[in-house]
Amino acid sequence: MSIDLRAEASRPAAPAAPTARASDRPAHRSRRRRGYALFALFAFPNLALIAVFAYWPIVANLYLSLTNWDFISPEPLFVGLTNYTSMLASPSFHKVLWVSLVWVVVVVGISLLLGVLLAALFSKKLPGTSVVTGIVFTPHVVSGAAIAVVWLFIFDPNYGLARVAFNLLGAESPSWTTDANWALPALLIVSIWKGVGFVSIVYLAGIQGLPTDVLEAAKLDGASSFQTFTRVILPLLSPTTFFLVITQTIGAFQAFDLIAVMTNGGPASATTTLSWFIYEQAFVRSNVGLSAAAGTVMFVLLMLITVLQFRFVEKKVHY
Amino acid sequence: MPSTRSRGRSTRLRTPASLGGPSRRQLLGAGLLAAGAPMLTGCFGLGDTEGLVLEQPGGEVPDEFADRQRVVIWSAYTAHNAEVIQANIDAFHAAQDDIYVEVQIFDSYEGVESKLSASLQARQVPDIVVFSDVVWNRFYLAEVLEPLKGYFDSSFDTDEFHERFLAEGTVKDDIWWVPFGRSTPLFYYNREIFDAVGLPDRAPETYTEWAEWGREVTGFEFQGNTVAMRAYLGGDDWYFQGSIWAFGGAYSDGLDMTLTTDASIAALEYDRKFIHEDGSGYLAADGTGDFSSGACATLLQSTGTLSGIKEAATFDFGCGFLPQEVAAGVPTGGGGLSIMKYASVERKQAAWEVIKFLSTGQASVDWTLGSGYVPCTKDAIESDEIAARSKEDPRYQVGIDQLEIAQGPDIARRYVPETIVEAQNAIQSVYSAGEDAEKVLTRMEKELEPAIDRVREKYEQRVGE
Repeated sequence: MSIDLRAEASRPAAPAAPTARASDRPAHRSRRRRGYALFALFAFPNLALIAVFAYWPIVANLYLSLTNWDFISPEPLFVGLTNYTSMLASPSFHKVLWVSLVWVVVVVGISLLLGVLLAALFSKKLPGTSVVTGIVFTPHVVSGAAIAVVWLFIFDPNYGLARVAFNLLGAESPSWTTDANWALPALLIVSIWKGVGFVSIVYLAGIQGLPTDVLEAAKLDGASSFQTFTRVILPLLSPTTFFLVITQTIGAFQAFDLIAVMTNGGPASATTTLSWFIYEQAFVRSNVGLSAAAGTVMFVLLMLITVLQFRFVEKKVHY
Repeated sequence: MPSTRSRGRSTRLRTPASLGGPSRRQLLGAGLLAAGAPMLTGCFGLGDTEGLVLEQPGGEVPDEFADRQRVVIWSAYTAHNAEVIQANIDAFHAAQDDIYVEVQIFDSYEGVESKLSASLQARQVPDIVVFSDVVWNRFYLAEVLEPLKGYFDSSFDTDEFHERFLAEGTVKDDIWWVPFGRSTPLFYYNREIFDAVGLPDRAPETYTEWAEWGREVTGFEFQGNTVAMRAYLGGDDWYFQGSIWAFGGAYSDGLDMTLTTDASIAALEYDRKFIHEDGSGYLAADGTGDFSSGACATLLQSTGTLSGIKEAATFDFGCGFLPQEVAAGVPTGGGGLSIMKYASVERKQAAWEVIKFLSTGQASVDWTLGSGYVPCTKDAIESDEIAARSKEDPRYQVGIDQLEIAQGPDIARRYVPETIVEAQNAIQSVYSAGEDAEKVLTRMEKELEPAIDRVREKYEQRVGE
């Protein structure tokens, strides 16, 4: 048995008890009670909302994942871990996890890469930068469904702009959304196009907040622009990158609107990500238990990824 | 005693609890779980349904109808069809003083299904629901539909409906779903392309003939498009349900899957060759749009789409029966009406009056003429107006004539919701990626096993073999 006595030793010594403690006085007790009441008044609505809309659904989802239910039967039937074992053993679920992994890695990776490059370009303050910045950012604020409809038209192999572009190059446009090999790349393109503006704006804010003396020192030391960017700016942007990696990863896992409008998870499940799988199991296949089990898997995955990022990636972040 | 933590490493003190018995924290957790489990169980499902009456969904009632019994319809009919229904409802409002009908519109049959599932949890139900032919069954299994046979009387008897369609909504000698906007697929063909290539002005009689014609048509230039023979609709397995029958196969016999029989495999293998060997077909994002713009020469599409294609197409086109191979393969489809069981007696009786009105007389005729669905009520079938329309445009008559060889979907497609999703995956794997038909159908059967097991007991209890 070993006890770390250093922690005990480092604690400040308790103050000597006064002969008549302030907390025993009626006025002080009354003030403290009012303080608690005020705290409860402000905190309770938020705590109640979080409990009802965040924690309760998690607990309920966990319970449903252990049942077989179709939404409309009188009550769910408890089946233990059957949903988990059948799902984790299913090759189609492995495919879903693979598609999700590709989606997250490609969307987050390329969005961050393009975003930081665009931000570096915007920070040069070339003529027309503010207009271009606005244009690049706009897709982020437009509804995903609207964007999906526009891109469906662009990707149409018979009448879309993609056909025109490919024909100019002397090639035939692929059947973007109906070809199992092209559907996922099509969605990735749209997703990156939609999200890169936000990433670039966050990076731009990060660049503009960098200490100018460090950049000037690098310049005085004879660092080239490329060296300044890769060895000074990028490391100094690591808190921004860390923030973006976490938020973009969570966002990428939750991708839904583009899939719903453009491919419905097809063709042949080629674009079925975990979030679409969860929806499809519940609302198309009426298999609530399996959907809830997949939801729990997604919850655990996201929690694990976030914890790992905080544990390992955060160490490389320079604040 | 709690654990003490040093930097980078923690050491848990061994207490009597950790050595054997449960700790206070574990006991607390177990207590919470024990208390929470029944609470969670009670949160889902309708529970005891004895004497259960659920609320009606909210909505606005105009002042002029404030004293009437309100009936809520959840409808999957949108755009023009929604206008036709509303016109009939307006006529109903004018024809009597007791009932006010509010039609609440959803984007699709699936939209109605999802909303109804959710609303049952919210303990609300509409009075009348528009279900597709492959959705109402699972609500029947869940025992939330009202049996309708007892509502018929001499003024509105069962022979008001087309016998074949009414039979589809009949289980265990009672009626749960009455036909309303019913349809079958039709064979649409571009007459100008057929004429230019030298093909006869008719639909092919067999799938083999269709493939032969496809090799002649594919590559033909029409209105700036290089034409393919057929645009496949991968988002709907309805047409594959027909072709699998035409090749002598089926999805299932009862709940026993028959997808891996030679005949069933032959049906999908035909499609694979048609697309990937002959190059005569493709999986379309918008097959109806492609046909209407002349990008493909033929299309299998619903009778309900005929009016839309007529409006959009800039060329002459014909309609014919679906091809056969070793048998006829024509599935019925479309929607019908059910009344929800857990509504008050007054609401259900008023809902029946609405169904009666919509299914008889001029309302039934107007609906058939306006929507393009095949007539499924006696008044519509025998109507002079519908006969005149068929005479004026014989394409409308094709769907009516084809009913003689049409049949309802296989049991698995009706009662196991996952069947349709898996079938869509299967046909898309072949249409899009050119996968081997046998491999795909074997995989589909295996994927469906747990889903069928989940339904089997209830099916045998409520439907029986």
